[in-house]
Amino acid sequence: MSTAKTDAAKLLKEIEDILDWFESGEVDLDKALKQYQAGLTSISQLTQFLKDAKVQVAKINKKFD
Amino acid sequence: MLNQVLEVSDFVALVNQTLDYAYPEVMIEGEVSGFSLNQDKFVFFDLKDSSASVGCFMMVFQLKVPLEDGMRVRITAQPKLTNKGRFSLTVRQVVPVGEGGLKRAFELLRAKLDREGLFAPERKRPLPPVPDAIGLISSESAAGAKDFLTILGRRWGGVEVKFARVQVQGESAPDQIVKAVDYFNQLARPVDVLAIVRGGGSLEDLWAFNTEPVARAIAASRSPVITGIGHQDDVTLADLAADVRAATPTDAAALVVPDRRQILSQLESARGQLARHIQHLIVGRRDRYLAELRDGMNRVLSSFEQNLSGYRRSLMAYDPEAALRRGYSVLSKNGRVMTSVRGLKAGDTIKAKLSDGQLTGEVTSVHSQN
Repeated sequence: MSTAKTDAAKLLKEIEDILDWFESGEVDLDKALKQYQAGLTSISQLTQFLKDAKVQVAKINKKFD
Repeated sequence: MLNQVLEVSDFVALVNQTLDYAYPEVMIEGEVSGFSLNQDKFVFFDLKDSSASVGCFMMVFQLKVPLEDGMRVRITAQPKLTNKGRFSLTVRQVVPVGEGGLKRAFELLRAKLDREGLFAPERKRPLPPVPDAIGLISSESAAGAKDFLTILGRRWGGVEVKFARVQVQGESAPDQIVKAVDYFNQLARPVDVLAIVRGGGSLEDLWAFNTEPVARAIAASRSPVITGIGHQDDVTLADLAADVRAATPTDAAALVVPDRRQILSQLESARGQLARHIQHLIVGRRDRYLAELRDGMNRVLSSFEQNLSGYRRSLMAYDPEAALRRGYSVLSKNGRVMTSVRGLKAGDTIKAKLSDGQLTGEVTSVHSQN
């Protein structure tokens, strides 16, 4: 697994902060675009993290079958 | 011939003295006839054969075997002339002789002791499963004792055997056997089982085990008694009085202790069962925990996945480009985004951002919806 648990937690926190920012109603298009981009990047990283975790769990399961 | 004239009593004394000198003790075999008991103290009978008969007298306590008319016996006695001038034998011991005599005596005594309940099944006590100490009553030279000890050692070692060496046949045998039983019963720490054994022999050889004192001593023993006397078919009164009757000394040893090999094999089998049982328990629990662990991990993964797609959906809703593509535009005046007509007036220069570019224009009029 390339992403440690702390990294996943950090990414999740980032996404939550971005969503909070959007919900605050601030209208700054440039910042919105940057925030949006950052949020999607974090989601993509977390998706990869989830994929890795599933592979790791399958490997562990196989070891104990 | 005596020249001296004697008084009658002196004459009787003289005859008795002569008899005592010549025949201090005689052994005679014959058939019992006219047997009677007087005041429960004195026994009278005649001993006869086909042509002669002689009167006999004895004390009841000296009579160790039951008597009845027609029984063939051997008596040990002292000839005597009574003060009434009657010739009589004062008997000290009566022993049945011949198969017929012994069997009859056996039957009579058996019936008597049976009536007393000495052989009752409810009196029988079980032997301990594994005795620590065994009292052995037998003759050292007898094959029976050797067989017993050999089989005992072969089946189960380490049992303490206290060996009371007694005669197992002959006149003094019954007394020695009774004393041996008494000895074991008087021990401060009684033995767990008393084994009385003797190898095979004729009915006469085994007679000590058919005597009343031996049967009574066995029946009264504190420690449970097992007998192994003679061969398979020999049943003595000692056997009947014992708690357990073994057919032979070898069988007695087999009944007194378990077979070590058999016990070891039982233990081995129990150990295997236990191991299988424990393994089953462990495997069952392990499988359950493993399944729970997998479920837990899967729940975490799936909840993570759901959260992630929720975040993605929320974020997509805030995509500013998507709003522009749908026809919305962003107005700004002097670099500030305008979300209200307040602050705008005719003549202001404004910029509008659209999905594919931006334009600059001038406000010609302002209308508030309110």
